[in-house]
Amino acid sequence: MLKINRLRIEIKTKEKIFGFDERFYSGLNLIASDDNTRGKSSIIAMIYYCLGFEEIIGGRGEKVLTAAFKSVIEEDENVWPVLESGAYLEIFNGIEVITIFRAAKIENRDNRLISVYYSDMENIHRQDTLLDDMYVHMPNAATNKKGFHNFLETFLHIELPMVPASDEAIRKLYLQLIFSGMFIEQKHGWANILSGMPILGIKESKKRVIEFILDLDTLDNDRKKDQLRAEEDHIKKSWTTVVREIILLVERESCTITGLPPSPKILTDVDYSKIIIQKNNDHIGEYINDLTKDYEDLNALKPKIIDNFDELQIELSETEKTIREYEWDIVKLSDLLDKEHISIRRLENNLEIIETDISNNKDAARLRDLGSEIDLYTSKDLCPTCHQEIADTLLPLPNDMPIMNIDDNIRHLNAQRDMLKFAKLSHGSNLDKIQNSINHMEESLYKLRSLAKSLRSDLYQTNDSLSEAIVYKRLSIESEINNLKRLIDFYSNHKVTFEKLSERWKDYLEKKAALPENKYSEKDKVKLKHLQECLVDNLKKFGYRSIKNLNQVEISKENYLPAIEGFDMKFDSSASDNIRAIWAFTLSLLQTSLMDSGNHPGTLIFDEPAQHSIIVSDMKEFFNSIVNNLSNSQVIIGITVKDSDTRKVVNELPEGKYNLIMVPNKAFQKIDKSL
Amino acid sequence: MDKSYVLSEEIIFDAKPDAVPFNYRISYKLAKLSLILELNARGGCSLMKLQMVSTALSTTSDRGKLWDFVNNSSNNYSVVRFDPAVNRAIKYAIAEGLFNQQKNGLFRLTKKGKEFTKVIMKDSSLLSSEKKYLFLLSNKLTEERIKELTTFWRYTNVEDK
Repeated sequence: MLKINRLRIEIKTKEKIFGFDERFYSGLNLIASDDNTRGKSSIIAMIYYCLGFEEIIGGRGEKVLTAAFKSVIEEDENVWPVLESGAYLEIFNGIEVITIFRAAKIENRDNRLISVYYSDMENIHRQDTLLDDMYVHMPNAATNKKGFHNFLETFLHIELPMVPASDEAIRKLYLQLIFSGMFIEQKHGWANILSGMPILGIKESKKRVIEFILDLDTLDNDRKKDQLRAEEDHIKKSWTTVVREIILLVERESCTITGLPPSPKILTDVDYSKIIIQKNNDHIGEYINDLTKDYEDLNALKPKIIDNFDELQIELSETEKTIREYEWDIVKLSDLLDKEHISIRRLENNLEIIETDISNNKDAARLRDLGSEIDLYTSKDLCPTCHQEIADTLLPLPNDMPIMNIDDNIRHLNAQRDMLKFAKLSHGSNLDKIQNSINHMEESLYKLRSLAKSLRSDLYQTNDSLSEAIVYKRLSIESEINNLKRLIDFYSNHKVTFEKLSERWKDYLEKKAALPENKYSEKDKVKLKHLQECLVDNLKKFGYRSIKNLNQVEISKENYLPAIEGFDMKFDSSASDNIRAIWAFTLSLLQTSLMDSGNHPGTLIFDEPAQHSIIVSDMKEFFNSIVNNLSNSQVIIGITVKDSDTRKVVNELPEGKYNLIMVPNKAFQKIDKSL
Repeated sequence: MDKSYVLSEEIIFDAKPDAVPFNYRISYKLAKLSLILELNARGGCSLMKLQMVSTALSTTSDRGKLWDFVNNSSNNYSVVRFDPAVNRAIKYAIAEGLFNQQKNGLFRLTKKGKEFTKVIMKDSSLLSSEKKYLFLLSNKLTEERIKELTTFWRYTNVEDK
């Protein structure tokens, strides 16, 4: 909770110190004066300013404050130049008391600096009082440790949610936004419900603020949804990485793999059994078996040449045939490779031309703008002589031939560039593919040639020497078996990763299914119902007359603002009823939050709620409902007690139930000494 | 008899707007010609010169050709391309009040034209390579040189016949 205990404003001039020093209490606090322009709003503005919420008034820094803080202060006939000014604000969170000081005008003190004293205002100058300097309105002031609003967030025991911002990032909901729902400022605060809300780049900020104040689960659900989306991204990314790694290795061993699921899914045993690695159209296991058999056969062979002369000859001629086939294939592929290279080079040339074309066209577009700056007719597609319409071209064209304007032309060229880039990319990937298969073939060719060489040397050996070919073959089979086994090992390792990812995916799908369909939990529905009841009740009390049947008023499910038959309530309201609606809605937010343990800090500030000649009896009801229902919260109201009716209302308020601060002729009176 | 047509509605062919190369945009040409007058001609510029420099600006090889011509005394600048688009652009420039034609036939920038070039010169990213070339070319291509060239053509053409 937030309770404002005491505000002390000090304005120093050459001879005197002017100021304001009053205490505030729970329940209703009235800052009243006989006439307008006495400085009530300056006092209230200073509360916002000390808390760093001056954006609700409409601006940053001391410029939102009145002249009394910045340039001169008037006293009867005298005008005193202001030398220094600033204010102390003592606030209470239910457990601790702190005092905040922020300067409005002090030489060499940045107005973004806020000093926090960990004591009440009386004791700020004691030796053992802790002092901390913090700042507002600087980048990251809402999240950094030395950011005042970050401190205030902790101090008020609230935890601001992360919400989507308009630039697609996720940001913390700003305190300023939340307090614009409780501090109704004099000027634009009364334009509409939550109209004082500063624009800070949060998507649907009004909705988010109400969600936060009522502590609706929707926010939580949204956040969960975000988390799930991140999880989904993560799983998908790891999944494709694993798949890519496996495919890469499989291709390196010139194998093929089928049945590998390209995107995450829950894998069953059937799915696993469908994943098959093949080599030369055989299952890899069988292929290895075959190889092992070959290997053993080779072992069984007598390694003497004399015994295998015929076989050696047949094998040599076959090997040479395969070599020729491979060589022919490589030549063909190299041709293709050259062609791809040529296409890529051509595309690159075209791209270059288009790039210069685009930049020249952009020049032309800017020149056209420059031309219209100095009033050239041709820049407006008009003939300078006869002022008829002409086309923006120097080429002779048939009359009815439409031409593109420069902007379309640039778009057109950009599209062409994208197309060329895409073509270049696909040619590039073709190139890679061809290069890969050439590499493969060259590797096999190398093996075959070594084999042929061994065979040939065997043929020319004396009859009883050992067969080199058989030894070579044995070695190469051995290494192939080893490689393939390694591939199988690799795959089974990654199968575990798949299993894990599949588990996570299942988990993700379960959580996704568990999210409520229409995002309102049962608790939310109750809270929204309470908000609606409080609102209707308040509207009745305050004399809202623009609609006969107030039960038609409902809380919109879209943005949680009051609506009638789906339309914004404001459309149907008279000016004074709009004021009543703002009273009612602001109060009901607090009431609902109290009833359903929401996040409302429990403070409301209204500056001049009696706008648009509101009827006095309605205002009385407004005050009464504050005095009766909200005695544990704090409501500060700045009010002008000009006419006798208003005075009567104030006087009739129950004694001792409210705190009246009468502002004399001028709000800032001479005070003895500064704190 | 049942006839089933695949297409029963009429088909309409619409002419899509044609792209125009930047070189044929009025604004672009006007700016280029104004820059030539500003940077390369003191006391007026002939149509021939405008054509020559304007052609030279269009491609890198054309730039080189003119550069060689002005830096060597040889007359091997075979052909001057007379681009009708340049003529048309000059007409527009005169109508817009950017150029004046003097009594001796030479073109000159008006006050408005000077203003226009000033705005263009201010933006250094605009037509930067063109500006650089024209700056280097400066006053190297004189009207005398052009006259020499045309006379040279006259004689060689006579010999040809």
